[in-house]
This record gives sequence, C-alpha cells and structure tokens, in this order.
Amino acid sequence: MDMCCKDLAEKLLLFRDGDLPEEEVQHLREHLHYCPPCLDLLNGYDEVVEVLCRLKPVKMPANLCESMKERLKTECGGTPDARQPEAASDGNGSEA
Amino acid sequence: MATNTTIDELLNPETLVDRYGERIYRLARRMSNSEADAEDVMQNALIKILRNAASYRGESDPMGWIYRITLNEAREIHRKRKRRPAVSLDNLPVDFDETSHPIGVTDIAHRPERFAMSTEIDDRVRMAIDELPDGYREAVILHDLEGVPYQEAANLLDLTLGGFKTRLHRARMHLRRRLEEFWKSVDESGGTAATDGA
Repeated sequence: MDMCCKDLAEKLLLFRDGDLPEEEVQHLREHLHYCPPCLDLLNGYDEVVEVLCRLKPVKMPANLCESMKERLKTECGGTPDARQPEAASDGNGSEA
Repeated sequence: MATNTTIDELLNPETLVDRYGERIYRLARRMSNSEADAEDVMQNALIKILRNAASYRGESDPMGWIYRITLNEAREIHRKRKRRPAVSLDNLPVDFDETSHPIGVTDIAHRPERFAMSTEIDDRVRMAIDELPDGYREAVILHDLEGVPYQEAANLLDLTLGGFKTRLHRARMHLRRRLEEFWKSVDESGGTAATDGA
C-alpha cells in the first residue's frame, strides 16, 4: 500500500495516541522507515505531547470546594424543587 | 439516558461540587488567565448546571454537558477580557509540498534528549497555548490536557472529527515551533534553563 504523507498526518495523531488500528500500524511503520519528514513530524508530536503531559497539574484550591458549595446554596436556594430550568439549556446535552 | 441518580447529583450543590467540581475547575483554570477568572467561570457554570439539571435529558454521564457549559462560561469571560491578538496559524509549518511531504518541519537537534520540566518551560508552554486562536487552544486543552477523546472533543467544539484533528495538528505544530525557539534560546544562552522539576 502506497501511503501519501497528506493522508498520514491524521493517522500520525492516532498512531501517537495508540488509537490506530493494528493493520494500519504496520503500513505506517514502513512508511516512516523511508520518509524522514513524516518521522520528524511524529517526533514533533512526541515532543509536544511529552511536554504537555509534564505541565504542572492544575489543582483546585483547598478551600474552594466548600466555599463554592456555600455560594451555590446562597445563589440557588436550598430546595431543588424550587429551581426552575433556564431557557439557556435544552436539557439534552447541548447548552446555548 | 440520564438516570434519576445522575439528576439528583446535579441538583444537589454538595454532590455536584464533590463529584464534578475538580474537573470543572481544571477546565476553567486552563481556559482562564487568572485564578479569579477561573473561580468566576466555575461558579457561573455550577449555577447554570444547578438551574438546568432538572430538565437534563442527556447521557447518563453528564460530563459532556458539563464541559460544554463550562466552555461557554469560559468563553464569555474570555470575551470580556482584553486579550492580545492570537497568532495566525495560516503559515504554520504543517502544509505539504508538491510531493506531499510535510514542509517546514525543522530538525529537533536543539531539544535536549532528556530534559526536566522547569517553571520556565512550564510558563513558556502555557504562554504558547494561550496565544493560540481560541478554537485551537480549546482543542489542545480538551484533548491533550483534559484527555477528552477525539469524537467527544469534536462534538464539544461543533466540529467534524476530521476538522478537529486538523485543528489539533496545527495547534501542536505551533507549540512545537515555540518549543524549538525556546530550546534554541537555551542553547544560545549556554544551556542555563532552570530544571527544577526533575
């Protein structure tokens, strides 16, 4: 199978993330063997993803959890039954 | 389909924050330039979730719905802030030449084979993410930082799967270029970048 670099750009994303189907992995490996630009592209992904993975994690401030609960109780009242849905949401997983 | 248990969790401030607060905060913080903005985004999103939970009829795992609300709140606050213009990705080195080979991809000779993350690198990467156009920034945050799968992230950004991958591809190449510049500057300064995160 003759692979074109343009087609491969998308597959490299999947390959890098381990999501490329096994039968395509072999073809990709063969292509990478004789195509330095694609290999370099893959190395670029590796580099970026590695750095992103190593960014310092975001942690919620310790006191924010409790203070947020208090704010919500103040903003929205205490009884769920009293709440009315806003028009902003269709309630089907999409929100305007 | 959402169960009564899911809806009950969403309707109760205690369980809503305990169960989903951390992820809402993380996304809000990554989308915001400051701690204060992240808290505003989180609070606005939580209020909206509470007020709309009773009518929620989506998936049993409401995280997609929650992410969408959080994204929209973050965009709203982002719009109100004066933000420097994002870089153009039109000329990013992600195109292909007439032989269909990727062009503009430089070698990575400047990258140390083994590098330790430092506060400086961390800051540079965050700045590079922040200068991406909004849709590209969101793609990186959702997939690369929050681990949202391709299809789900594409849905959140109202993109086709292919469109999302293209966006992510370009965003990563922009980040790579910024990293190259950073490694080069480290080389030119005698390799003195702090490595406090080894």
